[in-house]
Amino acid sequence: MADDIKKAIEEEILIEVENLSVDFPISRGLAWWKKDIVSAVSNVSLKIARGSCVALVGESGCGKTTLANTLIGLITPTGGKVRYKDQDLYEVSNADYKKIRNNMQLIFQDPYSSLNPRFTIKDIISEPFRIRKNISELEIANHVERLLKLVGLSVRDKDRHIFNFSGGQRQRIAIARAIALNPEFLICDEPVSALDVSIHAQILNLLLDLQKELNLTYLFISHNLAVVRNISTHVAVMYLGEIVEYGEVDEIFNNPIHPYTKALLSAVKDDDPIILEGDIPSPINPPDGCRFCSRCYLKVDECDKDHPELLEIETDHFAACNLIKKRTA
Amino acid sequence: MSDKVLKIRSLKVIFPTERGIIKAVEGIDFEVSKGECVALVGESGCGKSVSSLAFMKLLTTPPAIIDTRVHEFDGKDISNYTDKQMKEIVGTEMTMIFQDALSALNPVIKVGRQIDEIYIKKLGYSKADAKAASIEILRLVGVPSPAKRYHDYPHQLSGGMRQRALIGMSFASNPKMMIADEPTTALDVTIESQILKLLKDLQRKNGMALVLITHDLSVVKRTADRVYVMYSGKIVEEGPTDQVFNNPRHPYTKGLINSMPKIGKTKEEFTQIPDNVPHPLNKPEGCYFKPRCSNHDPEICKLHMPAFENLSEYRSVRCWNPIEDAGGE
Ligand SMILES: Nc1ncnc2c1ncn2[C@@H]1O[C@H](COP(=O)(O)OP(=O)(O)OP(=O)(O)O)[C@@H](O)[C@H]1O
Ligand SMILES: Nc1ncnc2c1ncn2[C@@H]1O[C@H](COP(=O)(O)OP(=O)(O)OP(=O)(O)O)[C@@H](O)[C@H]1O
Ligand SMILES: [Mg+2]
Ligand SMILES: [Mg+2]
Repeated sequence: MADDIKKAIEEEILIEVENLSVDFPISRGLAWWKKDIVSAVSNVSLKIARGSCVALVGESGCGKTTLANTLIGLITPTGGKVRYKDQDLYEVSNADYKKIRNNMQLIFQDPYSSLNPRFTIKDIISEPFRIRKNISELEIANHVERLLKLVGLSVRDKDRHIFNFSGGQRQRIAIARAIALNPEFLICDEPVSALDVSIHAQILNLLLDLQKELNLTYLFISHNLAVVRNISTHVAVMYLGEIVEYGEVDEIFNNPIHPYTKALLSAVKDDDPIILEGDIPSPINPPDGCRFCSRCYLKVDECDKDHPELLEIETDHFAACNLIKKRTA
Repeated sequence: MSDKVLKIRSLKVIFPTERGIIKAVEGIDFEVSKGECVALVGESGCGKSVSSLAFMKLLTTPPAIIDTRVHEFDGKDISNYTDKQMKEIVGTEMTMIFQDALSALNPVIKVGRQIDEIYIKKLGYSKADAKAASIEILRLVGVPSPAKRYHDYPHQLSGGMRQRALIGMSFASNPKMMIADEPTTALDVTIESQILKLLKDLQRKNGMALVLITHDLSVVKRTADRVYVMYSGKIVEEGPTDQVFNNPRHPYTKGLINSMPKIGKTKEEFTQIPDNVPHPLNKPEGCYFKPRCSNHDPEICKLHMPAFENLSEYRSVRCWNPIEDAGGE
């Protein structure tokens, strides 16, 4: 497995993120001239190889969705670069961006609100074709049939309206639409968390099958670590806008380095989990030192001031922690 | 045993709607004893919340139509209690916490004052005593700097902290029974383990009966002494948590357990349950789980709903063809 992944990385980096930051200015009530900054994504660097599935984990509000949206050009970053193959996403012409965008699609958490209930399945799945290509009705109909089969829905249902379908079926429809134009890269933002638990495995297996069949690359956002364990090839752990640990999935789960990653895993694995005390800091004007230090059970004095860099601690295994840095220094 | 805090027999709840009659709860038996933590687990729409509201007689009739054979709380028959009589015990002797702590708290009243209300209105404390008691309860539920937080409005607290405040409120009156409806679903995993630990600690300390309502089997496994598994308005299996997890007898329970992704040393496949949860207006003939069941008998399961039968002193199952006993009890 590990060798396969290394080969893949050598083969092709699909997306490269370099020192990406996204700040949202928010005004401070009546004092409108004084702006506070929400540091939603801070100095994130990441390489995504073709065919891999990179999971993004971390607590609510840590910046997962913001990072994902920035990766496909929906939010303009405050700093840093996103490269798709060799093109800089924020430098290319509009026409080139449109082409790139066809290759990058999103699947959202909530299949209830992301699909228009007045449309039939066929309307929904054929929409991308109508907007983006000049093709005949017959071709579109063929595509719709092909896609329905691919996501495990019955072709007979193509003229039925969305409200007739369960959450799991709707998510299949959303997936069919997302893969309609043969994208290379798919962002799945909590794709099963709104669905019945007995349906989760069906949708996850579908995503895995499609990945194999269509050679897709995934960014998979999830708060369910057990799902991440079994679907991803790489894991990026985010905390308050930063990536604090990154590596291959086996490494992260069997040999976590960062105290936050350890606490996350402990919360779902151990009978007597590590309990994090302390206040969760706000992403508004975050602390200068380590962003995790207010809750860290291993904190030392310097963590208040020194901001740890993301360093390669072991081969292909990165972490940002003052303690680890110290040990290797 | 006279330590039963809640005992209910044959609870039925239906909702007449324009499109038909929704049988939300179809005759369930439920009980919880002093010092016991019981989980009611099942998927979205199976009737967990409706049942728990009925346990506390909080459902509005109409639209709901309710029927129960036995309804005892703390040894008293409350089946014919008036709203006024119920008001005296709901909120003091039996309390409830909900998933969404933000909407359960009044946004324009300081958190501390909301807890004061319980001491003043329900327990007859003076204002000063109530304030001292509220700060104490905030401290007890692990809110840092409680004397300061007392003056905060709900939106100034983090999600986990709000849930703590809410737990504090429902614990202030030292209740005999607390029902927690998805208390951690909106929270991150590290916060989830804090809250579950808090609930268990409070429950043990006071010998309170705790009813935990959830769709998350891993929460059940970590927290409950006994579990009821619900499917489409009916209880399909009941027993001590470890026995049900190690030796599930209903195919649905087994399917749910198998479909929980595991965090192992290596990647594993997702085990899926086929098909979908039945629509509440369109439940199948015979056993409701039959269309998804790999263990069904083609004759009997299609025709008749199986009875809820005892397998042993502590275990019951609603199935014509239960999974073979794996032993070990
Ligand atoms: N348009 C915006 N304006 C101001 N702040 C924003 C905006 N969008 C996001 N934020 C803030 O940026 C931070 C990161 O938000 P984001 O939605 O990326 O988190 P997330 O990790 O996806 O969380 P969740 O798991 O809850 O979906 C949060 O503090 C959020 O409040
Ligand atoms: N006021 C109502 N009118 C009509 N139907 C209702 C009403 N309240 C609940 N129901 C129906 O009763 C059934 C059981 O609902 P309930 O809220 O108890 O589910 P649940 O198990 O708590 O689900 P969830 O996990 O989504 O909270 C559902 O089919 C629901 O649509
Ligand atoms: Mg998000
Ligand atoms: Mg509910």
